[in-house]
Amino acid sequence: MYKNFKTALVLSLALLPAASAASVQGADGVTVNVTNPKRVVALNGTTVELIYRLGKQNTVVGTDVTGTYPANKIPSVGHWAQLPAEGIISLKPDLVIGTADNFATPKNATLVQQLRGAGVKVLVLPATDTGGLDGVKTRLNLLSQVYGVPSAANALTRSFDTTLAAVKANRPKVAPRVIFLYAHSPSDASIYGTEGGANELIELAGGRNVAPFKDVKPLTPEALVAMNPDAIIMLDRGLASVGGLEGALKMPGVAQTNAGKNKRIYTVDNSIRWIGPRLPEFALKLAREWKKDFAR
Amino acid sequence: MTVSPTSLPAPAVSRQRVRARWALVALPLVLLAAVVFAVGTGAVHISPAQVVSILLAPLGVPALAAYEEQQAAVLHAIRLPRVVLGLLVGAGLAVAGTAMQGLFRNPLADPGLLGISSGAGLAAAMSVVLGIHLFGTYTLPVMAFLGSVVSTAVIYALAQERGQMNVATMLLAGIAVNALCGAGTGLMTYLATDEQLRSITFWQLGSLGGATWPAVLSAAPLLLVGVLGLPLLARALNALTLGESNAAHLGIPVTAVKWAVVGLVALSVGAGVAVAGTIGFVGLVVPHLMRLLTGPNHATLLPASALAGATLLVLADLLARTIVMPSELPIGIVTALLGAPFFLYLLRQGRKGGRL
Repeated sequence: MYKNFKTALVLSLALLPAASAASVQGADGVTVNVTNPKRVVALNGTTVELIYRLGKQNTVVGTDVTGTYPANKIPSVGHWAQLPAEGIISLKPDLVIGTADNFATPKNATLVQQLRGAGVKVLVLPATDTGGLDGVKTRLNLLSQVYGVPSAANALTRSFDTTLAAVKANRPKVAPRVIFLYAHSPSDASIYGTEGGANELIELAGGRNVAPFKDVKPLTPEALVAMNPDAIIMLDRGLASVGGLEGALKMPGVAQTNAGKNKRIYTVDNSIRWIGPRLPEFALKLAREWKKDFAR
Repeated sequence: MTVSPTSLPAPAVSRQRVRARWALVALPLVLLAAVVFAVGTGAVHISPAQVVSILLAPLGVPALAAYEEQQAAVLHAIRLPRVVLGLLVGAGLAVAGTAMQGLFRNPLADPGLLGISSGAGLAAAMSVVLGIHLFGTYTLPVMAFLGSVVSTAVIYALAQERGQMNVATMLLAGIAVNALCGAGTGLMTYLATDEQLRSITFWQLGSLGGATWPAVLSAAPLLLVGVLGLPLLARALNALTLGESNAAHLGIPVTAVKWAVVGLVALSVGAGVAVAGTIGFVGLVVPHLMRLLTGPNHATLLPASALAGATLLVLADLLARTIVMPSELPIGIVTALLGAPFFLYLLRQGRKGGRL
């Protein structure tokens, strides 16, 4: 009898967070009441990634073009800068989760009104391009409230901190001078400035972003030579688009920098522009590579 | 070039009149069918019986078919404003294109020549990149509209010669101002962040996806002024095909007519561009198609173009929002993909028949 009671108590405690409705306040100040959502449209790849990490991937019924990691077959509702209201509603979501930067475009501001007007709940998470790892943790906590799984979020936060400790231990002694090169083709590339995901990554991994501006600027070969980075980071996709390492070294200006002379070109996953749960892993990878390459 | 009716043999004229009469009967029916089809089709499934039930519900009519609350909300808040906006913008673009071709006596004229699209584009890009928030949520459409009116006014002022508007100068001024606005937009895209760049690009491709009732209602009066006002100038536009001095001899106040046409075109197209972005080819293709169907008489050509333009855009938007469900295509891509090959076909047919 007592044992049964105990089991029942444990069970009901375990079910408690899932059964009770959560009131979650979004970054736009709008509070959303959710009870264990079954059908979620998760806009922005990092939202999808965080939901996977919480073990709730089965609830995701739609995403945008950025929701490609982990590899999945979730239907896409299109480009994140131009999302269709009716397309999202047709997936019959209990909840649409987007991020503030997702809804910053003029078109998507109307989208939020349209979705809410049609009775669809929309939770706006804080932006993904600022706030670094703390921002990721904030979004993770909001999502864990939505799904009623605080323990999963805590475990994940601890794993972030463990990886972060490893990053700190593996940083290069002397910070390399770094440029983040975002290339579409050999003749079309931009440099990411001292704001956003690329900059967070460089600093976390123990480098110094030597771009002399905040936003994104097209690459000019002479400016690149003048900045003379020791290391250049590119996206996997970007390096492929210029024809691999050989192609990158032939890009105007690259060969004349320290990075070009020593072939110090590093790649990261394509999704780095949105700061997501893999930021510590990316930083650890870079920190280790830099520590090895820049041991002096 | 338009061919004046008198140069055609008599049977051809009467055949064209019959066709014109039929067109004015058939086109509204085609438009009605397109609207019904478009309202009932979309990513969210709503059956015809449900559409009728939802639309009649406010009148107290009992439902023919059960429907969910959300289906009603989608129909009222998302799909209906979208179809209405497509109808108005399509009619506005087509009737403006027809009037421009009549005014310039040139089949290549379209509202873009007046700098409406490029001025709107520059203003929209500036509002996105420079972060102008003067009018809250409506900043981008309001800026786009102001941009179109300003660039039209500039081109118009440049085309003034001793109180007269010179149509040839206007064409050249239009080309120059368009180039200038294009360069300004280019500068804005150069300064834009990645996110802003995508906003501008998608705006330039056009979309009816942002249609909400407030947006539709803010643009509707301006669009309606053009759609209903331009056909009133049909007789004057007919007379202008004979040349300005001949039209003046017929008692047409030529300068006033030119002012009126340019003003109405700028208002209706500017409003359309502001709410839906730049949608190409409707203003160019529809007038040609209707001229083949109804002949060059503006009294039938202008209303026929309005009806056909409305039908075309409602159907193009239906395609845009259904072929890649649950995502959607920018409507400018659809109109250009449909419009350009069709235009080329018309061109070849016209060449053979010696009509264009």
